[in-house]
Amino acid sequence: MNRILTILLLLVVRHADAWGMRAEDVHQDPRAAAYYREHPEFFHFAKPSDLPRDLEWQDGAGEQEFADPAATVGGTLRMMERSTPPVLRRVGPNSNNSFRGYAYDANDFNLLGAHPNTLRPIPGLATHWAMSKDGMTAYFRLDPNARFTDGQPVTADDYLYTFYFHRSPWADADWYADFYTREWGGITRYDDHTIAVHAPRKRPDQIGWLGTLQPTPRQFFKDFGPDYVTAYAQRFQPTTGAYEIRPENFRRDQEVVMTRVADWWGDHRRFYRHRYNPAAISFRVVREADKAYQILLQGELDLMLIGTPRYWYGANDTPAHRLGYLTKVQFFNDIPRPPYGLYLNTLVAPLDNRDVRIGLQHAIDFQRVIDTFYRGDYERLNQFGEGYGDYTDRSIRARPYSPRLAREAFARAGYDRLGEDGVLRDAAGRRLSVMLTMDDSDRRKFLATLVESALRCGVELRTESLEHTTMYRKVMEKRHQMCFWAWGATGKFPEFWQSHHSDNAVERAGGALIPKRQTNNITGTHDPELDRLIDAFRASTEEREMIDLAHRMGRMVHEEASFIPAFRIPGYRLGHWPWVRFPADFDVRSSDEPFTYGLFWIDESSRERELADFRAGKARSEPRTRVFDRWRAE
Amino acid sequence: MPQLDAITRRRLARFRSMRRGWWSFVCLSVLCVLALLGPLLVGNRPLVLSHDGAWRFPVFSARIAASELGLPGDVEPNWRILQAEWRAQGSPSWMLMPPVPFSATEVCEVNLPARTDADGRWVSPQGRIAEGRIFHLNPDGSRETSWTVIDGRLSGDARRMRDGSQLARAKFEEGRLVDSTDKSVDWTPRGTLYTYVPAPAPPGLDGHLLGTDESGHDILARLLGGFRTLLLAACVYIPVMYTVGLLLGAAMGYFGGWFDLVAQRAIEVWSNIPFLYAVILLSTLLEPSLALLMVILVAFSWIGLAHQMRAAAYSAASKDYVAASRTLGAGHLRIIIRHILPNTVTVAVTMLPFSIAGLIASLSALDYLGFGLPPTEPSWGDLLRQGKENWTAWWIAMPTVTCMVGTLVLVNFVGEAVREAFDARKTDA
Repeated sequence: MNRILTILLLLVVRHADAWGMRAEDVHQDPRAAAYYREHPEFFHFAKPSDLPRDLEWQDGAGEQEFADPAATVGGTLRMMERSTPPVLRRVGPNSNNSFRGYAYDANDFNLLGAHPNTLRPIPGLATHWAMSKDGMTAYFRLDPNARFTDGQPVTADDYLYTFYFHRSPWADADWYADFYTREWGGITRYDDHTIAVHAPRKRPDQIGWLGTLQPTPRQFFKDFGPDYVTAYAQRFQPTTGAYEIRPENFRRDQEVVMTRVADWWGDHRRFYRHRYNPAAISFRVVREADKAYQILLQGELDLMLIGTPRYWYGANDTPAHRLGYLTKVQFFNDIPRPPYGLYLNTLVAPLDNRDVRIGLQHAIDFQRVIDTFYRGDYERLNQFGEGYGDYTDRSIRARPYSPRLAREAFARAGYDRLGEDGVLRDAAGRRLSVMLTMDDSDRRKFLATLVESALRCGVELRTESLEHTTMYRKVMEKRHQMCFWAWGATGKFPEFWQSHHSDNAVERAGGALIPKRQTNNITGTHDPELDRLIDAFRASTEEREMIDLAHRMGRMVHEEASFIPAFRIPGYRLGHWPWVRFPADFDVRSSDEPFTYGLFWIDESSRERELADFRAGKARSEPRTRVFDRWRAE
Repeated sequence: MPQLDAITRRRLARFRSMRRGWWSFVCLSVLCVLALLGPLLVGNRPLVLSHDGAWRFPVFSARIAASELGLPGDVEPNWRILQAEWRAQGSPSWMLMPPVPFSATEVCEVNLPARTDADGRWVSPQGRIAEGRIFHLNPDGSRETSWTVIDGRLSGDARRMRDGSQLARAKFEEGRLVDSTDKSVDWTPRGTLYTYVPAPAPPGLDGHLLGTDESGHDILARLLGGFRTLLLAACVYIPVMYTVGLLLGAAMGYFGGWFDLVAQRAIEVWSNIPFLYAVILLSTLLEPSLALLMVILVAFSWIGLAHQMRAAAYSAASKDYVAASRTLGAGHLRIIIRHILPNTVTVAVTMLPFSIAGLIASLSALDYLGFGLPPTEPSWGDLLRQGKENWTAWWIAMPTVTCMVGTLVLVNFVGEAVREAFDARKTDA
C-alpha cells in the first residue's frame, strides 16, 4: 500500500513539476502588462483572424537532419570546468563568464535555428514561419509542446516578456537593453502560439535575424524587481534546452551537474531528436588543465579538448592512447575565428600614439609562437573579423614581425635613441615600456618569446599573469595597457559595435572623457569616422553595401592598429574514451566543440568493462588518431 | 682582524669546531660568490671578444650593435650563432663565452637536423619522428617550408610561408602528396632540413646541459638566475626585517608597561591578517615585482622575531647593568643599543639562518602559486610548478628539487651550528 502511495505521490509530483502548468496558469506580471500598454508602438495585440492570408508558411522540411538516429539517451558525461561561475544569473553584472556557454548559450533555443551545414533556417521553438512581402515582419507558429526546463510552457507572452525584462533597469544590462531596443521593431501577439516579430529596418538575412528571438520564463521571474541582481544571482534561469541546473546540483568550487529534463520537447521534433543525449553532464571543478588532462588519461573524464600541443602530442606516449582507448580526433570546422590577440588600450600613454601601436604590431612575433609553442599547428590570424566569408576582406594581412619596421615606427613616435639596456627612449628620456596582462593559462608560457621578440625591437614588455577572473575584472575596469584576449565570434558578419564603437569606449564625466567601464570596447577606440561606418552598417539595408562597409571597417580597424592578431585555430582537437560515441562525420560544419550541437552519446554499458580492461593493461586496438577535414576552410 | 671580545672568539671557535655546520657554511659561501659572479658564469654575452684586432669585453660593456662589428642591423647579434659562424668560416675573430652560454631570460629553440633513414622514414638524432614537423630554416630563425611528419612519414599539412604569410598549402597522406593549393610548387623535401624539439627539451641537446624548460629557457641558467634572485632578496629582506623586528622587540621588552601593552595588541591584530590573502590581494592591485614581494614578506615576518626579542629584552632590562647605566644618566636609545641589543644577540643570530630558509621557501611558494615574480623572471618556484605540470620532463623538477633541498639543508646545518655556538648557557659555562 505504501509503495502504491509513493508511486502515486511521485506521479503527482512529476505531473505538477513538468506538465501541470497550463499557459493560462503562468504568472502574468502586471508591471509587464503596464509596460506593454505604455509602448503601443512596439507591443501589438491582435486576433488570429488578423493574420495576413497570403503568407507562405515554411517548415524547413527540405533540410537534412544531421543527428545520428543510432544515438541513445542516458549515461553521465564527465567533464571538467576550471571554476564554478561567480553568479549563475544569466543577465546582469558578472554573468558574462565562461560557464554560461554550457548553462545558457548552448542550452537554449531560438524561434528558428540555422542548419549547421547549410546555414539555412530550420525550425526552432517555432515549427512554421513566414515572411511578409515587405521583408519587415516575420510570422511564427510556436510549438505548443515546447517547455522551459522548469515545466512552464513556452507561449507568445514569453517573447513579449523578453523585451520587458531585458530593457528593465533592474536587469542592469546596458548591452541587452540597447540590443532589445535598437535591433527589434516590435512584436505582435495573435494567440498563445502565434506571434509576429517586426524589424526596425531592412537588412540581409532578416528571417535569420528575427528568428533569433528567445523567450524569457515569466513564471521564474514572478519576483522580478529592483533587487534582481542580488535576488537572482545564484539561481539558474530556466531555458528551453534539454538541461537544467537544480540547486542541489550546484556545489560551489566543487561540481555542477546539469541534468536532462524528463521528456524534453525536442525529443519529438525533427533536427532536435537524437541530440543532447547524456542524461546528466557533470562538470567537476579542476582548477588546472594539467590535472584535468591526467584525470582524462585515467578515464575519469570522458572527453576533453586537447588542442594544446603538450596534450595532443603528449598523448602519444600515454597508455590510454597507446593501448587504443583514448582516441585523438582533429576536426576541422568552418566558422568565424575568435580574434585572439593583444588588445592595446588606446586611452593610455604611450599606446595613445598610433605610431607606437604600429611599432608594436611589428615587434610582437606571433609567428614564432605558432611555430614553436604551438608547433606549427595553429595559423596566423590576419585581422579582427576573420572567417565571415564575403564580409571578410582577405587582402588585410597581419603586419609581419620586423625589427626594422618596428624601429622606424617607434622613431616616428619620438622614441629614437637606444638606451644601454636595449630599450628605446624619447627626447624626455622616457623608456618605451608597456605592461602586458595575460591570464594564467598555459599561454603565459609563450610570454617569454613575446618579451624577447619585443626587446629586439627596442620595446620592453613588462608582464603579469593573473588568475582568469582577476584579469577579466581588470580589463573590464579598463585598467590594462595591453592584454591577451579573445572574443567569441558568431553570426554571419563581424560585429564592430561592441568592440570598436565610441559608445562603448568613453563617457563624459564633468566635461572630461573617461574610459567607460564594463563594456566590451577594451581598446578604447573612439573614432567618429568609424562610428559613422558602424552606425551605417547597423542601419544598412542591402547585402552588397554591408559587405562594402564591413571591408571598410575591417580596414579602419587594421589601420588603427589597436589589435595585434595572434593566431586562429582551424578546428578543434579532442581526446575521448570509447564509450563516448560520435556520428560518422563526427560533427557538423559550424561546430566549435562537440557540446555545441550535442550529437554524441554515451554507451554507459561499456564504460565499466572498457575501464577494467584498460586498468588491466589489455590492448584494445592500434593507437587511434582520426582527422575529419570535410569542412576545412582554407 | 678587528678586536673581538673573548666570548665572541670562543663562540666562533666553537662554530668552526662543528664540522657539519662549518662546511655547510663554506659551501654556501662558495655558492654565493659564484652567484655574485653572475654574467661571468651564466650569460649569452661573451667575456672576451676579439674582432678586427681589437679586444672588447662585452660582458662588462653596454650593448654592442651588430653594425659595430660590420654586420647588418642595429640589434645586438646572437653571439653563439656568430661564434659558430666565425668558427665555420675560419675567421680570425674569436670570442670566449661564459661556461653556461645562455641567459636566464633567453628563449632557446632546439632544432635538430632531420634526414631520411634506409626505410625512407624521417629521423632526427633522437630517432624516428613520431609526430612533428620538418622545415627549412631562414637565417632569422623563421621557417620557409614545413611538412608534417607522423611516424616518420609525411602525413598531413605542408606549408610554404614568406614574411609571416602562408603562400601555399599541401596535404600528404602516408608519404604521398594528395592535394595542394599551388601545383607549381615542388613539395618534395630537399636540402638542409631541421626538426624542432619542443620545449621542454631534454638535457644534452644544443649545449643545454640540463635541458630547457617549457618556455625554452636553459634550466642551468634558470637555476643560477633563481639563486641570484633569492640572494638578492635575502640581502634586502634580512636587514630590513631585522631592523624592524629587533628594534621594536627590544623597545617593547625594555619599556614594558603601556607601550608594551599597546604594541602587543597591535601585533595581535596585525598577525591575524592572513598572509596569503594579503599577498593575493596586493599582487592583483599592484604590479608584481621583487620589491613589492619584499615589502609584503617583511610586513608579515618581523612579528616572530619581535616576540622573541621582546622576551629576551624583558629579562635583560631587569639586569643590574641596565639599572647601573640608567643611574649614570644614559638615555633610552643608548641603553637599548649599547646594552640590550648586544646581550640579546643570541636570539637574532640564532634565528638568522631560519629566516633565510623561510624566505627561500616563501618566495618559491609564492612563485609556485603564481603570485610571485613576473612570469618571465627566473625563479625556483616557477621551475617547481613547471616540474609538477610536466612530470615526464624529469629534467625540470629533479635539479630544482635537488637545489632547493640542498640549499635548505645547508642553511639549516649552519643555523644549527650557530645556535649551538651562541648558546648562552654554554658561553657562561
